Amino acid sequence: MEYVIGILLLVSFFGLVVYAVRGGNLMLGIFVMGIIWTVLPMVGNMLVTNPDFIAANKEAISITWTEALQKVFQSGPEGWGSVLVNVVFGAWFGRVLMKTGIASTLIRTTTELGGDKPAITCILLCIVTTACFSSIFGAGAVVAIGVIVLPIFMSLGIPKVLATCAFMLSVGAGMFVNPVLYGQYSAFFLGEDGKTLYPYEQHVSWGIYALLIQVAVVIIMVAVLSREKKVHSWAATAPASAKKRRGDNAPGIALIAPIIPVLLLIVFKVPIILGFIIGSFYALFTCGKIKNWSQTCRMVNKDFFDGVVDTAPLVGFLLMLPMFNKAAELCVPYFNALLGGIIPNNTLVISIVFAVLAPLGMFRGPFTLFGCGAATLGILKGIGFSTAYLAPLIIIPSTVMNVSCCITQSWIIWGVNYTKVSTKEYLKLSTVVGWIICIILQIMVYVMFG
Amino acid sequence: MKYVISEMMEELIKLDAMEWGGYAFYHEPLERKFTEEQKKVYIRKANACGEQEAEELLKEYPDTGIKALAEDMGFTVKMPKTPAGGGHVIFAQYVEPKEITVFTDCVEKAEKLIKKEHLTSLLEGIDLTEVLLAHELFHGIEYRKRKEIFTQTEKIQLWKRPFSNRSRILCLSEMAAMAFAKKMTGIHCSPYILDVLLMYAYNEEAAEALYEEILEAAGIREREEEC
Repeated sequence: MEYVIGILLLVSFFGLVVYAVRGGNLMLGIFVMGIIWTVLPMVGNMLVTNPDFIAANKEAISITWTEALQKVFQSGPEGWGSVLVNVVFGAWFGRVLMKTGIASTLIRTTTELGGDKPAITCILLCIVTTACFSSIFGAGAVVAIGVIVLPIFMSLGIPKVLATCAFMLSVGAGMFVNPVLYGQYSAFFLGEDGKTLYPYEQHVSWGIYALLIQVAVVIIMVAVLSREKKVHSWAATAPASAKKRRGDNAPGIALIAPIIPVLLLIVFKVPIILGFIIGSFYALFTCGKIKNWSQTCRMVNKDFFDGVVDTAPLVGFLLMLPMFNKAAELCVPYFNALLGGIIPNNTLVISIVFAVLAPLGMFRGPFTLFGCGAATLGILKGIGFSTAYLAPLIIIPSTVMNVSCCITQSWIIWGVNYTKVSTKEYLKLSTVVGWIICIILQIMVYVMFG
Repeated sequence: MKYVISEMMEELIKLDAMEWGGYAFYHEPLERKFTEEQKKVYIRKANACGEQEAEELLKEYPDTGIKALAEDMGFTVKMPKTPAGGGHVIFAQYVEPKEITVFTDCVEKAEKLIKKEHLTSLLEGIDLTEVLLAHELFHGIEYRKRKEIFTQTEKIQLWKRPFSNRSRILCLSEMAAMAFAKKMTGIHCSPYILDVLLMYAYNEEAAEALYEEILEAAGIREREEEC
């Protein structure tokens, strides 16, 4: 019976893969999977007769229906509450950086350093973009910075596909230490008490190198490909807002604001929410936006509102995800029974598989935690790999192939539409570069934690 | 809808080269490096450069269509339909060293718009494809003459001594290309008006925002302060 349940679970897993690749709504897809992966193992628990299987999984299969439902549908989303709070504060911080003109000033100042040298300016802007996205998060922030950076790239004659790819990979590079994205990842590694088994310090210990490696690969890509024929386009760009311009005059002292939260967290262990608050008020204060109490109240209210709206589409998905994660835990005995003998428990083999098959992290496939990777993680957890190894193993394709390269990522599809690059052209470049980054990072993670 | 297209076109046709120069500098990444006086000098020089190139070419190729002229000069002219749209609409492009592309989807849409909105008399004598081709042709000529043409040789120092990074001023090329296209096609207004016209064919709101931006950049209208 355990094999029948295991096969049914795998069939449903591939069903989700197909559904995700076809562009189905992931929020509901994940929710339905949460239900299927709760019902199947629970039915299995009632029907299994194999004494060896029962003895090996005594505790796991003795869970009652009430306990299972509580674990999946109540504790799961509740446990993610703390992550949601981080997301909201991060989005507020992003809004403050936009409104104060710090992001646009930073970009303009960087452009003034590089001038008309496409490679130099593009590389400098990529570094600044990465620095910005080491703290800020969300499609709203990517779009707000993209509408400034991408026209600059194209006015320098950088081919559209290279411009789009370089910008999106730079955003993704920053995400390796981004506390908000980390919060989402950490939700996949919660202990029985709901606390994370994967602290931020552990994440940064390799994430900072991953960031540097991804930026280095972007620099090499820009240096090599910007030597190709230059393109001069006659194009009209809609102003991002009728009131957008002339906001790029933030004082020099304010320009360090984007990295304040991450810096405070890494160096002084200041909690990230406090970091966002300090960073936001530092930005508002140095830009002279704090004039009187009532005006400050109005401004903070408005920025918070806009920040929450920015994250709204993500919140629904991320509140369903913990249900699926918790349901995956119920399935572990059945995956072990079916795949335990097939999937190698050797970290070298697993690392090679993740490096070679890294593109499976695209299109919400089995190597991304924002797709079916939650199930893959469930299977690998069942085999008994350590969190210190498993977390980076699956976060790499999630951040590189999904967040940085895949057109199923909301801000990437925005960028592709904005620059009018064909998805085929974009994917040809982003997949190859992302794949190379994944291979390098998997080698690094194997050496560090394997 | 705040404006109708004919109203916007009427207003934009009235703008002179100096005012369009303000719009060009609005999109210049190094804009903050120049004083208003310096900008005026550059606008004059860039326009003169474009016009001079056009005059030379018109002498050499009198009564020749732009496409034929470009092909005769060794450029490859492509005219794919390639639909555009969204907030960033590409009308035409020049790829070094000799490829000129005009995206005809935007031209067809704009021509339909001109008929529908009765803009024919307002935009009399403007052949959109010719204007776009002429603009890109200038970039081709600019590439061939990159060692001596003003728009390529004029540079500003970005870094303080002892370091050095001299950069071209990108908007000079665009201003000169517009002046070149105007002279070559003999139209009565700046080709810059196509920014609004062609954008309007895809996205009316974006075209209106662009129109407001142009008026502000030209110094005709002050932008509302954000509350």
